[in-house]
Amino acid sequence: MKFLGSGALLKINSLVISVGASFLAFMESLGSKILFMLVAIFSVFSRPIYFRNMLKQFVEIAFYSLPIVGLTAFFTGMVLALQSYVGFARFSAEGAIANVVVVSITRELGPVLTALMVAGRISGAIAAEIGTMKVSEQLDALYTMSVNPIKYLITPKIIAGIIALPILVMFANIIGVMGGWLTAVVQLDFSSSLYLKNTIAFVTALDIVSGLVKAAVFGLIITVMGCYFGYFSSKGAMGVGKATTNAVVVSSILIFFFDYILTVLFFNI
Amino acid sequence: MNNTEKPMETNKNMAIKLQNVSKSFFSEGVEKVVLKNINLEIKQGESYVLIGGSGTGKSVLIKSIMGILDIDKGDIFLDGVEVSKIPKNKRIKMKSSIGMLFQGGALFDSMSVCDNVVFGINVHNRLSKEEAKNIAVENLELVGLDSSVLSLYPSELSGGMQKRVAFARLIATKPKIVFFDEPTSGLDPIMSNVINDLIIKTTKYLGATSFTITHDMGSAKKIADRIGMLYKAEIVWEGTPNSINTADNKTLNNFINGIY
Ligand SMILES: Nc1ncnc2c1ncn2[C@@H]1O[C@H](COP(=O)(O)OP(=O)(O)OP(=O)(O)O)[C@@H](O)[C@H]1O
Ligand SMILES: [Mg+2]
Repeated sequence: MKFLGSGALLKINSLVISVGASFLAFMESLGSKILFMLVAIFSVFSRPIYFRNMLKQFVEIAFYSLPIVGLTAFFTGMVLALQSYVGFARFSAEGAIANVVVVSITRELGPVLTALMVAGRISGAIAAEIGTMKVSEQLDALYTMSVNPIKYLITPKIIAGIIALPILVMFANIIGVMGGWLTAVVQLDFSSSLYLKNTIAFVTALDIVSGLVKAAVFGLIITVMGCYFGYFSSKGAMGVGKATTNAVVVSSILIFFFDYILTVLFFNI
Repeated sequence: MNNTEKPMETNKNMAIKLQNVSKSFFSEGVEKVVLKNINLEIKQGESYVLIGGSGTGKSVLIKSIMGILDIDKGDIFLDGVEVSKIPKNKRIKMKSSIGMLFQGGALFDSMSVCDNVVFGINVHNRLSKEEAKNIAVENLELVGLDSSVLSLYPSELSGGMQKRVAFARLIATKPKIVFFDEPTSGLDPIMSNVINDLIIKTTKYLGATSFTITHDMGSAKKIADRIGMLYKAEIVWEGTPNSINTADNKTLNNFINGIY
């Protein structure tokens, strides 16, 4: 302690306090998000259940995301094939391209890139929609007509998100692998049948299942964050704008965070 | 209303009863008292009008009675049922015959006019397209709109039209207790009168009880059985429309004559 003046000690002290305070604030905000999520999800187990709204949300999230998700996956698969070709040529291991492409896509790039694209498209839109409804008293209007706004608006979105993302990722996986195959065959002169044979021989059920479970979790994150920030947005156009930005930023960060956690859990690393 | 609690005898013929209702908001640790010990009794079939300056808490009072906002203290009875003691999620499920017209209309902007008007019915018992259209047209006609607006969206309507569609959405559910938050603001004098007459009609002929907030003294005098004035979180005056001009209350006189 001799070397530390009291000024330095105070600085460390206040640093510890401010880190502690922001940690507490973080835990509190995480807690309120989890509580919000649980209330919304458990609403699905009691009547009334708004199936129509669920279907509508599913179409909005899954169907209308197909073009952007497909395009992303296709280019990712093509670039992946090129990059691994360049890299593996150094070890004369070009034959492993098919394996690398299919594993990277099903385990990582399919779920994460799909989720990020959908987060950009959907999370902000949900926050804006619900925030605007709150600001213009439409949520209160639902309440006065004996409709629970959480059940009617939020639960269907979350359920649709959990179902839609795995389906989108399945689609992204197929397109991504096709992208890699196309590049390998057309540009790198691989044998088409050998490439496909390697792909199928190498991919395991765990690769695919882990990717789909990740996708479901990402679907939950995207919709819950959109709903949460919209539902608790402050009044006025600025409040809604902030809610939209927060929804996209926070859901993107959480996607990376949970991707890491789930990878550790799945592959026992 | 279905509730297992026994209604108190004394509240039987009161549609709306408030006992010592208080409500404050906190912003950055500062308490702002919006309602202070409000007592109010409105009989079945009565038309009550609440006046008062902007920002005095009129909308908060209605939203508290509706259960949209939680009160801090006091009791609220609707049709003899103590609704302020019922938890929010239970209260939503009660198929109540209580409706409210919001100050800004609060139309659902993702739905057409037709879907908006029938929403209160359709959401609980699915209607066929034909039924929905008929109910929508019938209620829109009451507020002076015709079937040409059915397929429009709220953003395509003028402010006054939005207000009337919101009115149609309210009366479509045939409520027995109705709250109107500034029903005539933003309407031209003729349309204001149509709405005034409609409030009188729904109240008198359907036997509904109405609670109206307004800044429009002409409208207040026309529709009210009784008028109350909210000032600084309290109801400072109550009386009949006829007695309002001769009332010996400085706050009230200043308000209706626009003296500040
Ligand atoms: N959700 C809320 N949070 C914090 N303060 C609020 C909230 N709602 C209303 N207030 C405050 O309560 C006061 C009363 O608001 P209210 O909307 O009831 O006024 P009003 O009498 O209806 O006015 P107007 O005639 O302009 O509609 C205002 O000062 C407002 O700032
Ligand atoms: Mg108001």
